[in-house]
Order: sequence, then structure tokens, then C-alpha cells
Amino acid sequence: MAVYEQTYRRYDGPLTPQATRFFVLPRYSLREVFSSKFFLAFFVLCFLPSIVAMAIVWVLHNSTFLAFAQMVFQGNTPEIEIGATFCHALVLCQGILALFLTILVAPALVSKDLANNALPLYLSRPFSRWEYVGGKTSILIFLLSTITWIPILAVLTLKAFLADGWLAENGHLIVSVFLGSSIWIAVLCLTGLAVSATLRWKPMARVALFALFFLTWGVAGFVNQLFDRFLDRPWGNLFSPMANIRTIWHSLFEIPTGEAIPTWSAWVALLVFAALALALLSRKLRAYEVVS
Amino acid sequence: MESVIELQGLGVRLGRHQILHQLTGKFSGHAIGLLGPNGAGKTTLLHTLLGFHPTNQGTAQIFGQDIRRDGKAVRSVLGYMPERDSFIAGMTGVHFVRLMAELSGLPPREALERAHEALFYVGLGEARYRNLETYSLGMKQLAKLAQALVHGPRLLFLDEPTNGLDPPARHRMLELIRKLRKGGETHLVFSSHLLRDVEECCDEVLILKEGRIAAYCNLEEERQANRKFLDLEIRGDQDPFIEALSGLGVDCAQQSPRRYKLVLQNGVGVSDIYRLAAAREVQIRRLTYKRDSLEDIFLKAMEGGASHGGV
Repeated sequence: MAVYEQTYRRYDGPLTPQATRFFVLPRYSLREVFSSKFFLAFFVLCFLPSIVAMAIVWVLHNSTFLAFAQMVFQGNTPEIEIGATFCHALVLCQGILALFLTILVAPALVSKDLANNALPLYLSRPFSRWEYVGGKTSILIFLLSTITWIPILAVLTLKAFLADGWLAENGHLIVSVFLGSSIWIAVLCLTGLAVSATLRWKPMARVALFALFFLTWGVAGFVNQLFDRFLDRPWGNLFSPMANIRTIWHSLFEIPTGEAIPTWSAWVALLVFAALALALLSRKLRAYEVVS
Repeated sequence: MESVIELQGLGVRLGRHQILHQLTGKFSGHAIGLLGPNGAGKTTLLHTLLGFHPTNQGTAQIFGQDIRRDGKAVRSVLGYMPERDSFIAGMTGVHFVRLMAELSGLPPREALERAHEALFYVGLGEARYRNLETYSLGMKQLAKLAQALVHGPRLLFLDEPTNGLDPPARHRMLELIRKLRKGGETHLVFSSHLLRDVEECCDEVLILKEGRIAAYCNLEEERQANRKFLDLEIRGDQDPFIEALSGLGVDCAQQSPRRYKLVLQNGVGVSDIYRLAAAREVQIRRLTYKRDSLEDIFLKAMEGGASHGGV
């Protein structure tokens, strides 16, 4: 039918599979997100630690460079081992960047739809609330994965390619990197969406997200200091998602820590945090809010 | 005829309040009007049919599919134009309508084509590349209509579509709705508190009051049934003409010197009146059908109270 022919007709053509329809949301959102030059610059910057790490790995296996380093450092070349500590540092570095990326992107994801009552338009179609959440979450999952575990695994792949037998000895690191990053991504996604669903004004949502992660870190430190005499461990860390994820990362990479809360308690704290975010999402993401 | 909507003791409770009370009825018209004062439960009924609110009594079927059990299947044949402003900021008209089409399951290419078509259809062809937040209220209403019909639904829910529109925009919206109804490809449920709008566009009307069905009216049947009541104004030699009409079995009651109220019997048509008038050289100055207006029906329903839940 010609564009100018003003008649109405039913659609009886093919339909896309129901299971893949939530991908429509990331496709539209990512196009919008990447249209911002500032975001694009930040996104590229997020790869810097992994690129540096890749360069280190390459350099460590470059005989010409090693000979040059021997000459420069007169035999005292710094020892860099590509192991648990290295991976943990990389996960930590990328994790912090992931947090900033979440603060940048997440506030607009849901708030934009809620601010203009667009949710009934989504939900009046064969599209459920959880598909909506899935679609919005997949935007963050894609962006955060791209800057966390994917580049880190690329670094480890390079290492495995250059060093025979390294993978057999350090295969568990791959699992730790993937698991550690995934947990952090899950926490960031749920928190980001919950805040976006609650605060419709983007700058306010950004401040709230920042406070939720950094202020709670401060609160945790304050509580630990306040009850230092009475508590055997820094239980105040339970208030901070960042402290909890660090505890879990330490455990995953088997890095010894001083006084720390048990890993299970950090898991429980993060699960409670995620459950609260889910409950908030479930409450806020309705076609119409019923006031009784 | 296949029923479009069938309510089976449908009840909805929101918080502590029972909003809809055991609504029962079967509707198969092409354009079903939902009338009622504010707070009567019109929007709640639409939202319940869309699956936004859970039911606490009974259920409902749309084209034979249960709204609770087959929610997604039901919504795949529905289009919804909400009452309130609903759009996604930062999107152009065509981008917005295309997104909605894709969410309804249309492949991207078809969605783009139909988005353009839908926007042209509602009269936003020239404005389709403009951002939605720059649209006027009337244009936003039209954009909402475009997204509601872009995927070619079998049933369209229009919740107060003429709200806040100036007379030309309202006229345009009603014209579009009439065109959709006339096209016959889609059924409509038109919720409004404006009787005239409903009367102009619908052939069945459900009047709600306090969450109950206060009256049901098949406007089309009403129109047919009341065609037999006529108001007549004539000039000329009246007596022989009236006698001739009586001879045909038409009941005539004089209202004023030149005006009569007629009740036609079966088998007697308006053409017979014209024929007799020509033969008796009587001028027919006015001939109008007299029937209960929707306003009469509505007022009666409001006075009578919401006594029953079913049709």
C-alpha cells in the first residue's frame, strides 16, 4: 500500500517469535545511548585497563622487550605474574568503571517511560512486565559485559595463547572472572533499574545511585569504626554493596584478607539488596498505579 | 454473530474498594460505547480487559479467549489508546509508532512501513519526523491512535479519545473513528462521558454507574424500532390528507395547527406519506423521526440507579 493512501487495513503478515521480542528494547535504547558523544568517549575509555593488561601480557612474552628490560633494570626487572591477584585487580578496575557506566546509563532507562506514562502502551501489547524488565536489563547486561568480563577474558585468552600450560593451571580464574563480574553486573542492573523506576528525574537518579554505592561505603566504614570495640569483624560492611562484592571477589580469587566478614554473609547481604531492588521494580512497574 | 466481548460476572477490587460488581453481558457490535459519569468504572473495565488489573470475581472473554488464561493472545488482537498523555520522550512520531509495532510482533521492515501508513492515516504524515514532545495535545492524541492501530488490531480500545481536544481536532478524531467503524475491519470500544460522541460513533452502548451496568442500549435497534414515530408539519388542505393517512392505519395526533405526530403501522413507509401528500396536494414542510435520544436513555439510567450487573 502506498504511503499516501489513507486507508486502514489489518496486518496479517508474519510475526516475530514471542521469546525474542524483548530484544526490541535494547536495539532501540542502544542506538540512543551510543548517539551521545560523551558516552561513546567514556565507553572507549572503559577498555583502557584491559588494553593495558593485554599490553603487559604481550610484553611479558616478548623476548626482545625482555632483553631490553634486563638491560635497563640491570637484572632487576619487576615480576608481574598473570594470576589471581592480577585478575582480581583487573576485575576491580573494570568493576568500578562498570559502576560509573551504570550511573551514566541506567537512570534514563525506565524513568523516561514512567515520566510520560508510556508503560500502558508497552503492557497493552503481548509484552509482559518481566519481558519489559528483561529488555531493559539486557541493555545494561550488554554494556557492562562488554567492559568487564569480555575484555578480561580476552586478556586471559591472550595469556593462554602465549604461555603453554597456563590455562591448565589457571583455568579456575576464567570461572572466577566470569562469576565475579556477573554478580556485580546483576547487582548494578537491578539497582540501576530500581532507582530509575523510582526517581523520574535523571540527575536525581544519578545522585541516588552514586550515594547508594559510595555513601553506603562510607556508612559501612563509619559503623565499623563506631563499633570497633564491640565487634570482632567489620559487620558494618553488610550495609555496603561495594564492600560485599569485594568480599565475594576476594573469596572467588582466593586472595587472603585481614579482618573480613564471612563470605556467606556478603552473599546474603547482596541477595537481600537484590531482592529489595526487585520488590521495588515489581511495585513501580505497573501500567497504572492503584491508590487505595 | 461472534461475540466481541463477553463479561461473565466480572468483578474487580482495587485496594479496599470493589470497583466493578459482577458485570455480565455479551457484546457483538462493531462499535461499543462505554458511557458513564466519572468514576463509573469505564476505564477500570478497559484496564481489566487489558490485563492491567486482576479480577476478583468472574472473568471475561474477548473473541472467545479468556482475559486471564490467554492474556497475551488477547492482547495480541487489541489496540489501546489510553486516556492520559502517553508517549516516549526524545522519539520522533515514526520512531515511536514503529517501536510499538515491533513490540506487537511486526518484523522491523513491516513495522516501519506500517508506522508511516498509520501516521498518514491519522493525519500526522507531515509531522511524523518531529519529536513527540513538540506535538500539540491534539497531535499527541492522534499519535496515540496511530500506535494503537499500527499492528492492525481486531479490537481497538479508545479511552476518552476526544478529551481536551478543540472542536476541529475533536471533529477530526470522530471522523477517524467513524471511518474505522465503517471500514469494518476492526471493532471498537469507545469509552467516554460525552453522549454525543458515543451516539455518533457507536451502535451498542453500555452505561455504567458505580461499577454496575445501569443500562444497555443497542442504538442500531433503537434507531430501527423508533423509526415508526414521526413528527410531521404540513401546509394545504389537511383534513383529507389526515383522513387518507388514517385510512392506511397510521395513528395521527395533532400537536399544533400544522403539526402532527404519527405512529406508522407495519407495512406503511415514509414513501406512502409522500405519495398521499402529492395526491392531496399537501406540502410536507418537515418530517423527522422521533426517537429516544441517548441522553434520555442515559438520564433514565442515572435516575433509575444501578440495579443490576448484567445485560
